[in-house]
Amino acid sequence: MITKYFANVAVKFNPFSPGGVSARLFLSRVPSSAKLETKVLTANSKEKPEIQVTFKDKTVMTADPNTIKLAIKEAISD
Amino acid sequence: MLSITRLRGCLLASRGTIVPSLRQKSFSPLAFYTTQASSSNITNNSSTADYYLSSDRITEKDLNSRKTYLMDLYKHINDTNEILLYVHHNNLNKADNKIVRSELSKINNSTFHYLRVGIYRVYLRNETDSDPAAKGVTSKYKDVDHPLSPLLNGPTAIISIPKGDPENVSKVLKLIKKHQDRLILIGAKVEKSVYDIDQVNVYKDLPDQLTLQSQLAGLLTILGGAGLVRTLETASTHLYLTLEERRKDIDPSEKKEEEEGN
Repeated sequence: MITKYFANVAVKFNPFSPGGVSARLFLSRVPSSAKLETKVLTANSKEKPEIQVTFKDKTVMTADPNTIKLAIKEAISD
Repeated sequence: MLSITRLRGCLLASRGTIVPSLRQKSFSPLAFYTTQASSSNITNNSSTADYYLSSDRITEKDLNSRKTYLMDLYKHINDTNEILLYVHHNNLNKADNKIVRSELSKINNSTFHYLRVGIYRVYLRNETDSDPAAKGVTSKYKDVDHPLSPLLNGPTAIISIPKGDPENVSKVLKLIKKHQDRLILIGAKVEKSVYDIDQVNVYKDLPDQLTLQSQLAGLLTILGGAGLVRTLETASTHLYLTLEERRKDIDPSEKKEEEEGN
């Protein structure tokens, strides 16, 4: 996973859900140069878990940590 | 097999002179041994402290290994602290790390530990055992699913607060908020129950335990405390009277005496 073009990273996750694991593993790979925004959700919150990355060229990528579990794992292991 | 164990015991005993001092360095030995004494049911003629460092203790990993040490440390942390806050740490550099630790120690001697999540997860599974690091314990509790285990993935740290006081928690939460991008609160363990962050936010606004107790006591005295005491007593008095009557029925001499008395 190439992280040097990350400008902003916004992550919303529920740490008790299986998706929270991938979100946290992703977070741990984000460099300190990127601006980070996190929100911890709970079982009662209405918002959906989400990973949103804005690159330096303003491209925005979003992902749902619950469904892209494998993709993140693969990206991190690279 | 026995002779090998003996031999290993002798070796450990000879090394033991240096090792205990190393093992005790990072936390208060007194506190460690007093908790061990109260929480474990090992009956050793000397103190339990000796058990934890003695060569007779058979552990899953080597007695003087870091893994056994960490198991003992995690047991100590969980036994001596009423509140544990689990945080995700991210890019926490050395300077920040130092600031966080020094500020935490000012809040009622709270401490900050990076966790080795694998070992902590095993500790949580073995939590109910008197010695979680003992041989065979890990396989015994293999299927236990601890409610905190989902939190133990990725970089996790633990903030331990010795006394369960909501005021301390709100101070620590303020500190975490100050380092917003680097420390993220993900969950907590308050006494025996597991809290998510909503519950922690509710907990931190509660008055402390002593205030609550005095409020309850005050309420009971004002609202006819005497009446309540009488109500609570009724059941036991009733039982006493019934049994007394029955005793008199069974025991003829008593009955006679009663008749003579009349």
